[in-house]
Amino acid sequence: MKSFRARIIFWTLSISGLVLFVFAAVSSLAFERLRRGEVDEMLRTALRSRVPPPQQIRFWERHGEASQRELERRLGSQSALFVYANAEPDYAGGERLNWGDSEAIFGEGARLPEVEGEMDPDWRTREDALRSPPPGRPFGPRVRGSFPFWNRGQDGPGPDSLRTPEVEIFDFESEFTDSSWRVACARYPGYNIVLGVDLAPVLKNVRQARRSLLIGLPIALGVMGLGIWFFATRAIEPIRRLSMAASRVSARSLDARLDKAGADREFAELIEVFNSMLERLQKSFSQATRFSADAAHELKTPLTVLQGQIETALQEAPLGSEQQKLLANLGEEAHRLKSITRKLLMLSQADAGRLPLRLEEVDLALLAQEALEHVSETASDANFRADLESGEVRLECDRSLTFQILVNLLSNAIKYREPIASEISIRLGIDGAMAFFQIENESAEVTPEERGKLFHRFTRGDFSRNRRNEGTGLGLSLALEFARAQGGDLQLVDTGDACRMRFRLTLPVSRSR
Amino acid sequence: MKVLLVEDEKKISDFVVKGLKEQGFVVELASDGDSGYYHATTWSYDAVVLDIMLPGKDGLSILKALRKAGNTVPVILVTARGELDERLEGLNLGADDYLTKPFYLDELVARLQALHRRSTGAQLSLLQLDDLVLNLTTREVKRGEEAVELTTREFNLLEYLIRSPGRVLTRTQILEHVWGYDFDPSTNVVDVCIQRIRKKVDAGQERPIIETVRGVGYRARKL
Repeated sequence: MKSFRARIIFWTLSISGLVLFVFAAVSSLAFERLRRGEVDEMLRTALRSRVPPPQQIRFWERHGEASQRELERRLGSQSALFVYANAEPDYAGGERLNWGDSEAIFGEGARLPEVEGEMDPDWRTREDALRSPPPGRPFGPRVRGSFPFWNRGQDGPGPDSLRTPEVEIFDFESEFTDSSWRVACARYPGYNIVLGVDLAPVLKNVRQARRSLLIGLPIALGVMGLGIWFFATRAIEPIRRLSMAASRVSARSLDARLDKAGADREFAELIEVFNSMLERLQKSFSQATRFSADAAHELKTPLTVLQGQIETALQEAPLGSEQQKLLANLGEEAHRLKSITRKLLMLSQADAGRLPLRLEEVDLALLAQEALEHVSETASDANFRADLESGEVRLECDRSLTFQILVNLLSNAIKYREPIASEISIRLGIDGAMAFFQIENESAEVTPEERGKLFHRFTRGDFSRNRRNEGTGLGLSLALEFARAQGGDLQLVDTGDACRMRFRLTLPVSRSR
Repeated sequence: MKVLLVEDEKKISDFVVKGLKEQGFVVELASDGDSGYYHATTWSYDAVVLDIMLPGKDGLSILKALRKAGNTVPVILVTARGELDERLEGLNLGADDYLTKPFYLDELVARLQALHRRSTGAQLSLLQLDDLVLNLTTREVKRGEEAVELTTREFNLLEYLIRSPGRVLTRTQILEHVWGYDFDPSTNVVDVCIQRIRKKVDAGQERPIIETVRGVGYRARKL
């Protein structure tokens, strides 16, 4: 059988697991992008400055390394900064054309963007201006953590060379050092500035984040699973209580109602519906039982009249006359009617759970012996095989009800035995907390369909070809109710043989719980 | 013997009054609870037959009131209910006997006679018909000088028959009285039992006690 709780847990976990996984994947990708974007942004920012051409060696020595260090501090990775030009300018001192160390990373002959345009010859004359930089960020007092190159070029109009340069950013796999770099190249007229950072720490960072997500995911799922299990159990709990309570409700305890105190709104509604259903059930049930009880009562008065007048008339009729015989027959029918009425009344009492019980200790073997003697009077030819040793099976039960059950079973066995000489075997004993009485006899063939109907009210064994059998058809159902009223049961046991009937009566040994 | 019958159902009281009168009782009828109580407290009776369900004062409260007032008249309660609780309540309240509807008139007569015997001091523990004597206390039976051995059932049946000599008792009546309600009336236990009694009591006698009323039942010969 499928468990609703298991299904809730399974589906919630699968869905939330999927969502979590997608979330983790997306967020780790986003994190990587973010980190890379950050790197790019830093590179771009560092390069978007008014940076003098390589000839301004003093500038480079002063600010280049500072910039590099700042970048390295921020990203925690190695960086490279260099400048190259398309031609060796005629520069005083004839010193380095290129500043910086490109070979360390890019090796010889790495393809870098071409240099375009001509250097601004005015730079040469502006050297003084560079020595005393304009107020503001680029060359002003250094703010901690800011790039020395920082200058958005917003200082008003200037020559083309002072415009914000075009920055190209690309990845670079360095075979030389076996590392991957992010490289930004700012193109100035006549020279390019290249700033690169080793991505290793960034990537490592991303990998770490990804790994922690991968570890965190199952843990989160586990915790979530526990939570769902807990809540699912709690959610199911009222239903379980409901079904337990409902199972306690039987025909005898229809007045039971479920407690809705403390129940959640949804369940309170359910309980209310259930209770009102019980109420209606109880009403119609008690109406039905009261009806049969009332009917039985109402029948008694006319029956008394009928019986009394038949009796009176019978005494007055001429002795042995036809009239008297007729009245005797009527008397017999009145008796039968009386017996049915009495049984109906008892059945309705049993249905209403109001069958009065008088419990006492009973020796089942002795009682069976008594019942056997009782029925044997009507059938001295019955062949009983009974091993009734007294003292073995003692139980607490209602003596009179149990006696009636036994008499009913025994007389049924006598009535329906076939062939007449066949044996009727009786066995009794104790099985766990229950005492049992089992009776078996051979009979005419009884179809499974007939078997199923044996305990129905007003069912008589039509399978008997024995014409002398007459009864009310209430005996077995009454016996069953008597057994149930005492906490026991009466069953037709399947013998696998359509011509063998075996009834088994079970009664609790002790009624005290 | 003077009996007060408190019963509201006219058809029932009709045949009970008639039947009891035939059996030699003096019967007075009260058809509701209040007049029943009035009768019972005003005049004296040898026995009261009291229906429980009555208009006005119900049977149980009449009984309670009588006993409270120190009235010890023997009371037989009659009810349509066979419920044990009510029966016990009735007996606890001081009823002397209890009869469930529907009842045979014979049964009522037998109970009334038993009550009468009890109240007059049980000197009538011998039941005699012709030369047959039943001792109800020792349960010994004698036919003339000869002692007869009877089983309990046989004794009960014989006693039932000779209590009302000449009265026809049907098989059904006998069955119900001697064996109880639930015996199937189509069985022949009664006939078998009668035959056994006859063998013991009537065999070889000139004047048999038990007479067969063919197709109806049996009766004890009236002297």
